[in-house]
Amino acid sequence: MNSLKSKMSPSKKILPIGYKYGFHDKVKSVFELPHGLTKKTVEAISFYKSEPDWMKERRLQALGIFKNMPLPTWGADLSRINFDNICYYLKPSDRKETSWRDVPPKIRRTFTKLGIPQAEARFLAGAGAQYDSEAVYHNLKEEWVKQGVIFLDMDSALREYPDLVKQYFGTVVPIKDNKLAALNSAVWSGGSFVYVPKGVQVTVPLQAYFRLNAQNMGQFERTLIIAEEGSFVNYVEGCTAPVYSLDSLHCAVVEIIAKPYARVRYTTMQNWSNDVYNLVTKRAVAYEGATVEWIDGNFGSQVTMKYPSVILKGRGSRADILSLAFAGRGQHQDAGGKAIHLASDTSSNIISKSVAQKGGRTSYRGLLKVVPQISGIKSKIKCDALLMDAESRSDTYPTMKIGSNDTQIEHEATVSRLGEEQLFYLRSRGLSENEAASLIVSGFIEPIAKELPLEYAVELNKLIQLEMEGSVG
Amino acid sequence: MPNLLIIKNLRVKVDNKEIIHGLNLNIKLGEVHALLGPNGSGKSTLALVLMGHPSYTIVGGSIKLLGKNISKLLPEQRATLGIFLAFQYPQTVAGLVVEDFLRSAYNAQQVSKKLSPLNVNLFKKLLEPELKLLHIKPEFLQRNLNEGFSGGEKKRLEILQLIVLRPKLVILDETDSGLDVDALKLVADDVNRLIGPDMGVLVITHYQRLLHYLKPTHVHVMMSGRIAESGDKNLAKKVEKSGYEQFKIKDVTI
Amino acid sequence: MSDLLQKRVSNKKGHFCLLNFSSSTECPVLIKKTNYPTIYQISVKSGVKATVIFADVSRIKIEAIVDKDAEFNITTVISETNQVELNSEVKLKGRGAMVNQNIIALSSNQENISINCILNHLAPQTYGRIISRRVLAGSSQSTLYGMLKIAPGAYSTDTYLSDKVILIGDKARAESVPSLEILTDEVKASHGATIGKMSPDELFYLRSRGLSLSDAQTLLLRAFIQPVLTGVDSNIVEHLLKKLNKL
Repeated sequence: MNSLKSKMSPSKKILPIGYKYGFHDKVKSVFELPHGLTKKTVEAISFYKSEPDWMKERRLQALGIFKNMPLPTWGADLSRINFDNICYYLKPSDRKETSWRDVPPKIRRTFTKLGIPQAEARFLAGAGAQYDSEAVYHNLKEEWVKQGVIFLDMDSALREYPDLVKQYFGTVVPIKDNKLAALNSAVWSGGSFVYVPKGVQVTVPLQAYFRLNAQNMGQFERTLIIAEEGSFVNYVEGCTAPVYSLDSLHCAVVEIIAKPYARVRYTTMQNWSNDVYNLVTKRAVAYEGATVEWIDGNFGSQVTMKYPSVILKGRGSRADILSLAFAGRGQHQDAGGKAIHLASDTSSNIISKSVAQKGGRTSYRGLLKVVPQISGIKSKIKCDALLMDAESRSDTYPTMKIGSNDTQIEHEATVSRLGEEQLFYLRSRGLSENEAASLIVSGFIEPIAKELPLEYAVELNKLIQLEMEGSVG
Repeated sequence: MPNLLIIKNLRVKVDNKEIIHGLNLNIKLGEVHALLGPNGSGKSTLALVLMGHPSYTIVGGSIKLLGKNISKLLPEQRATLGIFLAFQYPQTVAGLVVEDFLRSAYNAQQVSKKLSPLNVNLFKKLLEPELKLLHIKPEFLQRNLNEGFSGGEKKRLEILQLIVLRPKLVILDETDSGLDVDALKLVADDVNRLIGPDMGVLVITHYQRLLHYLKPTHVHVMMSGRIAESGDKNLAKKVEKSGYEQFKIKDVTI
Repeated sequence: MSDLLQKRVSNKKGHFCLLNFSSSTECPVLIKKTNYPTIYQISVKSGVKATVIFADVSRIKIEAIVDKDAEFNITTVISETNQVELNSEVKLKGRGAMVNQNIIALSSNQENISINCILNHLAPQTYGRIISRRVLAGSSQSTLYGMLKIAPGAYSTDTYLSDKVILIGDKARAESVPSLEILTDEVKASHGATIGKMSPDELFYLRSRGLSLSDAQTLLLRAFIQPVLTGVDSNIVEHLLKKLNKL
């Protein structure tokens, strides 16, 4: 394993899976797909991917449910999404590349400031050819194959391991769960499939850029992670660098099954730019003695609605949900976490840190549910919000539904602004107002930042410095 | 010795109330000035004003550091010019590691002097001898800035910063408050080690205990926003003996 | 009680009661046993200090407006009725307005208690506290929605909500939804909630000093509800403590 570690040098940048294609007004495609969501669209997608019939049926079923369900009335404002104006599938060969010149200057500047190499930056911005990570990937792939670990894009997984996929697909997030999950179930494409056999510890973090090509990236990713008994896997996706996208809707579903005594950590850092609506359903089921950790970082996007959840189904299972949200001008981050205790001796820990500035809005939305007749439940929830100025807004909407008395439940939420005296103290030591603000904000999010892989943490601090520019005073 | 700090007829307002009414003070390099006074006389206000705290407004007079007028400068600019304030109540910043903070402050000084900033390892090396002299354990540097620090630990960290940043004008604001005799002696020893011809010190104290260990070259008594009397260490003895009543300014017009 | 205007207007949908406090009262206004749904409109004028205590509520709606530098103390005691619905919104309209809202709910049987409180800070330098203590036994159920709102421009506001629930037995159920909507930055706003059974460590400590389990539980429950009983009539307190003993 040591030889593998040396191949994963810390300076290697992580690519996001959210490489977006520019959907310009009219895209000439050999395969004509009308805009909008109809039965034909869904059938075409399934046909095009050569999927087994059962998946096609599921898609159609989901379509029906999607059409009949209303949008949620709570959360962020989704009224401006026009579902008919989205192109739901585009063949890889028909995808158009944006010219690097067309990428907005602000985005190009951010890449430079964050130290992202040009080739990667182009790829991220949809202006470059596919990033060839085959060389780095190859050796790791061999190691995994030896151990029986499967790490593929979802489309390939469906082709090569149909039974495995069928067994678990949609078991954690059923089609009927919510309108957006139904949408995803109807038109999903791309995403990751991870299967870790019994007792296998995947010590090197699985990073999404290892999936080779851009086929796996898209608006409607579907990710499925199965960790067998006693296994461990750490899945990392995303990038703090902004992802330039002309798509307006990113609607993904992530399902995790953590079998007894397994441990799964799923880290996401997302920084969508433009007018992206980022609506994601992330849910895990934890069996006896299992642990699921969600680390969720939300920057960018116009609207994000994301509440990573863990259903604590087995005795002694544990949930750790760390949520980070930054909202700037015109942005609304509606995020949080859900812990549902269905078994005894389970524990959950939710930490949410949010920063709102320049009129941005951050909302924490969470659920803690404890069903009756279980015992030994421990839960701690802490939500801290930082408001950088008087234009910005912070909301906290935690819900606690407790049906058992053998519980120790604590919830605490605070809203504050940058301390004047703290700023003055740091400035009196020679730091500029922006530098001082960055340090205070970095310190504020430190409990979450320290759980990130080193590269992310470093990028995150740089991103904070960028965000702080012009935000103080 | 050259002039370090010249304050002329300084008047300062906070919340529309004038706290300092025409204060004059001259500190030369190499001198140690003690500023005594009862609570509410404006001593700490003076310290904060010298450092550039945004809540205070200068409505009259001037402050010059090494001949340069600093009244319009930002706190960070004053810091890099060489002013250091050891706070009475140092701030806690959660999640900010002491070592990282010290390095950032040190590098701010370097940059202002057009020198290259030090990286993590080089800075660690720079700190090592100072830590030994101050008897500070390396683990101390990994804690969060002032978080959970005792009063003594906070004051020691202020002194460590003083040593690392090598300022020209050192202002000690009630550094002795809240410290027991042993801690006080330690602080005084540290400061004494640094005092030299390149530095001027302004010790603000209510209780004068610190003055037993730090020998002032000049002593001033501040009453109601201005200097009531100036002298040498005998003045301090006078205060110790008979208190502040004797210095009350009879005809204060506000 | 001086200058207290009370007006009762009966209408088909329940009672409507106007309370207008235009000068300070040292004596708390006690409103007992409302058998029918009642809407209380309370107005606390500039600089006035007023205290209102509701005991044995069933279905009430409270709309209060607190003016400049006024202080409004309101305690709601819920302990007898089966179906309870408490809806309250307190608007801190004038600079320096203050509200202390205490809620205590004790239920031992099949009660269903629904509490919905809003503190709306509309002016600068306002102060708000909602302190809630609920003890639920038997198969009682209780929900509390506590919303602290700070409007733009309401700077230097200090607001806090604390909801603590003790569940006794394994059939009681509680829901707690403390929420914050903050639209200005220079404020102090936070909330805390705890839900669970009585602390086994605390019980053990008391028993190790000779108290029986039952006495220890009673003592802890009394201490638990203490913060919300300030200003409440001693008769009511006695009544509550008796009920606690039976839980």
